[in-house]
Parts: sequence; C-alpha cells; structure tokens
Amino acid sequence: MASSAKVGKKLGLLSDRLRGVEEIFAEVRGQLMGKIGIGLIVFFVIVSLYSLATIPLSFADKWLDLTYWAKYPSVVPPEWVSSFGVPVAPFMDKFIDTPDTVYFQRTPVNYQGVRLFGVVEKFSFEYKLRQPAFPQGVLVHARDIELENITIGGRMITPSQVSLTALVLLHRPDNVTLLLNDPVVTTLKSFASSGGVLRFSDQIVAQQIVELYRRKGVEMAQDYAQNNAAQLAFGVYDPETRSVRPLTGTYTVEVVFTYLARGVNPNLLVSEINAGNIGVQSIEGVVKGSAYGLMGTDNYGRDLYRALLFAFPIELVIGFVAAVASVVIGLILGVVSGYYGGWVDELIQRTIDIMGNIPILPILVLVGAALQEQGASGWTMLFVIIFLLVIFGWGGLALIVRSMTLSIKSEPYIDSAKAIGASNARIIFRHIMPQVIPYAMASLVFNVPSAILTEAGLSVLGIRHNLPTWGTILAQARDYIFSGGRYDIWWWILPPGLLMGLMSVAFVFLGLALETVVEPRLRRR
Amino acid sequence: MPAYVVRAEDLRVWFPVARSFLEMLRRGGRRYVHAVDGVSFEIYEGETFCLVGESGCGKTTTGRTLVRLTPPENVLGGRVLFRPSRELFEELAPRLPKVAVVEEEGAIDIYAVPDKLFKPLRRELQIVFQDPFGSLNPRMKIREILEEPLLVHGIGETFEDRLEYIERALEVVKLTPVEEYLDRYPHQLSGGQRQRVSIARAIILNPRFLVSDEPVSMLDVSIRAEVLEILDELRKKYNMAQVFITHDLALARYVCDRIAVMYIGKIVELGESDEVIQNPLHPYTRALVAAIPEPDPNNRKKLRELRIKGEVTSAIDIPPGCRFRPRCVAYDETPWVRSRCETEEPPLIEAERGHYVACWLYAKR
Repeated sequence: MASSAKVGKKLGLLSDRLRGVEEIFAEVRGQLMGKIGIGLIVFFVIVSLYSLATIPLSFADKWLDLTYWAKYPSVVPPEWVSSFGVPVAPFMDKFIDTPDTVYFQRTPVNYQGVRLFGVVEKFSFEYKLRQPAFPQGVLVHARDIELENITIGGRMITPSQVSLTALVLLHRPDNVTLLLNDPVVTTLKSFASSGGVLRFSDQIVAQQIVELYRRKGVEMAQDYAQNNAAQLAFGVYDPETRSVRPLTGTYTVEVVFTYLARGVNPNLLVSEINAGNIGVQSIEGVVKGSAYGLMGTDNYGRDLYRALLFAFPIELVIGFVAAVASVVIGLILGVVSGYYGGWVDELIQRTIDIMGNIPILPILVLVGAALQEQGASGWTMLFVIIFLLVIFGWGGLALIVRSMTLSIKSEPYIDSAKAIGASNARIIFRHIMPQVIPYAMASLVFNVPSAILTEAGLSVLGIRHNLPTWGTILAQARDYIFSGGRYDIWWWILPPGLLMGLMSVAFVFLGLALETVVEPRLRRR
Repeated sequence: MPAYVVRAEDLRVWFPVARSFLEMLRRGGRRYVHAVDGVSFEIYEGETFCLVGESGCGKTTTGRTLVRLTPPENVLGGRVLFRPSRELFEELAPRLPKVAVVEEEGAIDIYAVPDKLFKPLRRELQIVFQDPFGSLNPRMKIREILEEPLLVHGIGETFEDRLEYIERALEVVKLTPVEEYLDRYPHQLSGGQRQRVSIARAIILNPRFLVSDEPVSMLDVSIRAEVLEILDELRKKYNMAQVFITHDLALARYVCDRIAVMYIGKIVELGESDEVIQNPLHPYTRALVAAIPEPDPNNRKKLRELRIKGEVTSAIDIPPGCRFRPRCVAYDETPWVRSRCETEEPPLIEAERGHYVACWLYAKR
C-alpha cells in the first residue's frame, strides 16, 4: 500500500514535469524563430547521423595521412563550378585490371624516345578533356604487384632478381607524346616495397617541352617550363602572349613496365606474368583534375566535403557536451548554493570568484601547447578542451541561478510548502527548479554555439587537435594563405564559416524563442 | 478550564545580526534581534487567540514559531508544547526522543523533535500567510496547490481520492462550483479567492491548530468579512484552536476570544478581548485602544490625545528595565515607579481575574 502510494507520488511528479516540458516545446514551436531554430537543429542532427553512418571514425587518422591524399588535386574548387561556366578538367581515378599486352621485345627499340628492351607490359587508359582547363598532373599507382618466387627452367627467380623499368607516357591529341615520370629503374621487389607510385615529374616533362618548342623555334626557359609543367603537358604555349592555353581532346595515358631477369627465357617470363604469378597485375590511373568533389580540396588534396561532414557530429558533441555539462553543473550548484546557504554557499561562490578571474584563454593555449608537445591524440585534446570549457563555463549560470533561488526561496509560497511539510527535495524540484530551468535552457542554447566558436577560435590560435573540425579547416586555410598561397580559396573558407554561422543561428533562434517562455512579457500573442 | 492545544513557555526567538568581517575580527559577542523574548501563553480548543502589536513586535515570529517555521537554532529558550490528536500522539510518541514527549499531558515539545520526524505533526499544525499573492506558487494550478499537502503526507491512493479531498476543502472555503476553480492559476483569482485557497490548503489536512498571520490585511475591506467568517466557521465546526495575528485591535475584538498585546518581543497585556479593549491596563494598550478609529460620525472630528511618544525602539539593543519605558507616558507622569521601570523588567501579573499585564503600575496589587 505504502509503496504503491509512493510510486503514484513519483508518477505524479514526473507527469507534472513532463507537462512543463511539453508546454515549453509548444511555445517554442509556435514562433517563426523557434521553428527555424528547431528545423536547423534537426537538419544538423540528421546530417550528423548520416555522417556517423557513412564515415568511420578512423577518418580522423586518414585525414593526417598525407600520402593517402597524394592522388587528389590540391587547392581545387568543387566540381559543380562547371555548372556556373567555369571550365573544369575532370578528376579521373581509374582501375585497370589487366595489361593491354605483355610481350618479349627481343631487340632494343626506341619507343617514344625511350629505349625498350626485355619483357614489356603495357597498360593504357583514356582521359577526355572537354573544357579548356588544366589538370594538375597524372599519377599512376601499381596496385597489385605479384611477388612470387618463380621457377623457370629449374632455376628459382626471386622478385629482387627481376629488374624493372616503369614509364608513364602521355599521348596528346596533337600527336605529341610526353614521358611524365622519372623512369624507374629498379628491381621488382624494391619497386613494390616503395609503394609502386609513379609520379608526375616536373623536371622530366619540362626538359621535353623545352626541347619540343626549341624544335619549333620557340625558346622557353627551363625554369618557366618546370614551374608550369602540368599546364604545358596539357596545353599549348603561345609565345606571343607568353601564356599556356589548355589543349582539349582525348589524351591517352600509357604505362609501360619492362622486366629483365638474367639468364631467364623471356618468353617464359611473359607467360608467368600473364598467369598472374609475378609482376604488376593492375594499376590505378589518376588524372588530377582542376576540380574535385562537392566541396573541393585543401593544399594537401584532402577532400573538404568529407572533412566537413565528418565534423558535423564532432561540432554537435563539442557544443552539447560542453554546454549541457556546464549548464547542469551551474544549475545544480546554483540551486544548492542559493537554497542551502551557509558555508556551502560561501564555498561555491568563492570558487566561482576564483574561476571567474582565471583567464581561460591563456590556460587553454598553455594546456593545448603542452598536450601538443606530449603528442596527445586529437581525441584526447578535444576532450581536454571540452573539459576546460566546462570547468570554466558553469560559474556564470550558477551565479544567476543562485540569485534566482534566493529570491524564490524568500517567496511566501516556499514557507507555505514548508508549513505543509514538503521536503527540501520537493521544494527544490517542485517549486524552484521549474522557474529556474527555463533560464537554464535558454543559457544552454546560447552556450552551445559559444563552445563551438571557442573551439574554432582555439584552432586559429594554434591549438590544433588536428581532428578535421570546421575550426581546424578554417585555421588551415588561414595558414595556407599566410604561407603564400592563393586568396581565392572560397570553397575552403566559406563552407566551414557558414556552417558555424548556421549552427550558431540555429541555437540563437531557439534561444530567442525560449526567451519568451522564460519571460512571458515578450510574448506577442 | 479546557485543555490547551498549544502552550508557549518562556519562548525566546533571537536572530543573530549579520556581522561584517571587521566585527568578526574584533571578536565581539554576537548581537541578536530579540524578536520574541520570553513569551508564555496557552491556546485552548475552539478558541481564537489574537496576537496584536505594531509591526516588528514579534507577533509574526511568534506565530511562525508555534508551527515550527522558525529554524530551531533561532529558538534560544523556552519551548512550545503541542497536543496532537490522540491517534497522532499514540502513533508518534514511541518514535520520538524522550525529551520531546510530555507523556502526562499528551503533548509534544515541537522543537525537541528532530527535523526528520516532524513531518506527521505538520498535518495538525497549519498556518495561513498574510500575502495571498505570494503564498501561492504562480506556476501551479489550484488543483496542484491543494494536491501538494496530500502528496506530501501520502493521503489518497489515487488521483480521484485526492480530488475528493480537494473538492471538500474548496467547498469549506466556499469556492464553488469547485470545478470552476480546479484548473485555474492563482493569477486568475481575486485576492479574497486566493486567500481562501490558502486557507483550503491549510485545512485540507484537517489540522487541530491554525495560525492566521494577518490573513485579511492585504484584502479589500469588502471581502475581509467572508474570509473571517470562514475562519470562524472552521473554529466552530472542527473545534480548531486558532491564533489570529493582526495589528488591528478593532479587528481583534471582532475575531478573538482572548487578546495578547505584544511589544518588542514581549506580551505586555493578555486577557479576554472585551476586557482588554474596554479596560486596557497597560499604557501601551491604552494608546493602541485610543488609536482605534471612531465609528461614530459625530465624533469624527474630535481630536483625541494619543498617549504615546517616540518610535518603536530597536529590538537589538533593548533598554534595561521596562522596554516600553522610552515611549511610556505613564513613566513621565508617575515618578514613584520610575526607579523600578529603569532597572527591572515588569513581570506579567494577574491584575484582574484572567487579565494579565506587565507594568509596574499594577505591581503592588
């Protein structure tokens, strides 16, 4: 009997409190600003969930692995700029599973200015340049290199006994062929262990270009050619305007590997390669376009779209955890301080005084720098930053809540509640909290963007947790510009800035709508 | 003589004066506001007992102390004995510490009861406050306000049970039809209606003792009568003991059976209300009675002499001897008692039958 009465009592209290929340929600929804705020927050939450579902958390490590991003064009705008009339050279990333041909070149031949001899393996792919724009170059990655020990004619051959030459040739629409890489002459084994990447070489290309134009009677400085190698490879130099214009049309990229193994019947080697026992089995051909993805890339070629998306849940977590934690602490300590008074009050108030007078920014910078020195991981640093934001963030609300509690405490209805025997807990939860919580919620809502902006500000001040957050992305854009980069990197600066602004606006609108709950005199209806 | 419900014995309620840091360093003794400074009386069943006095005389503190709203640490002397109903006493007495129970009288010393065990006693000790606007939580509906005491004391298993109690209480205070008031907020009610809600909240637990702290002083004159009537009906119907606190002697005469006049924390005169008003003995009571407005229009313009001087003295530094001395006209006019007035506090003596006064003028009798 008694216990069921107790349960009933608790349910009663709970339903009372839920009713309050419902009323607040209805009031907020009734306003345009409230609607916009809630709508935006719902959008942010949905995008965050999408991000969590599609991008694994290990993306944070990938973000720092610059070799992973090497194949992407650096500092290029998003692809959709072509819809606005900006010519775009498309980004191409193609896997070629089988070589075009594998054959034995018995006698050395001069193939496009390169001496070819031995077992030759050719891969090729086409690249169509329709709009007048320059790709940033070509990169070939030997993806699947078979390294089995083979036995030919009773002799065992290891991959380190097979020498290898790798060439990347670009056949242009104007029938000019350029060697794009520094020909790799090495063994199959060391080629595989070096990663199997064939890079665009400015120097090699420049030499050929200078030679090419000299034959046409146009003198070109080696420096100029080297600085504009990628453009010259995909364009035509106009000596009168001293500029390069893009050459549209269909390009063919040919990747040629030649194998030699001393004392081995080359024809047997050809069949071993065809059988997939040894040699490069597939390649990835990449043409770095002049635009990439939905949001472009940064100076390391990193995809800003994925980074921005990855940052959504992080930003929300920073904002919510910092704001909720500091508001909950502030609310509880404020009510306790105001309601119980005495030495508890004194202790809490003096703590707030002390915390309030410690400048948080220098501390954050110091702690951040120390953590960076220690080589702490991004997540650790983020956690520490949030922790500090909370530790220094609850004081203001606690002061307000305390003074509100003091004034509510002296209301006659608190005495009435005491007179009927209400416990302290009941007075706090039933009479004080309902009046304080709307303020706390408004303050919570304003705290969320402030935590996010503080985190972004820290990135700009040089406290880098190196996780891809909007603040980090912005700070890196700033670094890029300061280190002599371009200024027109709008796709790098605007999206993170706008997203931060939008998130602030969402919470501020919600806060303004909540304000009318807190202060009914502001209601217009 | 009927049995008392509440008895105050030499009750002293002192509040420490907040000290500045420097004062703390000086290590001087703490200074106190002597809000109630040695007060004794008994209140009987079915009786309305008035506490009358100027603001600051300690009448409100006395009233709050009777229902244990004064923090126990401020009750520095004396005790308040309360006689709960038989059932409650038998239920509680075994659980209370020995010092809190006065077995032979069936009474409980309410300030000897630990905080945690006091709750059941609240059912029978209730108070109505002066301010009908502040004493109801503006965010709660009338139903919730009246439900709270029931929830706190675990009365009524279901919401329907509790609703029955609530409706009955609202009927007692004549807020009918009940349904019209249940879901209203306090701000939707008039002052008189709110005060009746306050009364309903106080009586919903069926108390034996009710303190009304200036329940009508903030109400319009036109609606005072109905609130007073409700209180009087409660007293008659439930044989409730009531304390009625007011600064208005005329009202006290209308409401009360007995009157205690307080001055700076002490009762200076106590007696049947007609007796006190028609035959005031203490110079202070005389001044108060003289200040009652004259209802007869013919006498309206007659200037009456107010036989009092100066202002209320501070309750912190109470003068030695009679605390009313600085304002007393009799002190000036009767030089033969002066020496006593200056040195000794006058005790409360029975000047006439059932009529007590604390003044040296009546000491020899």
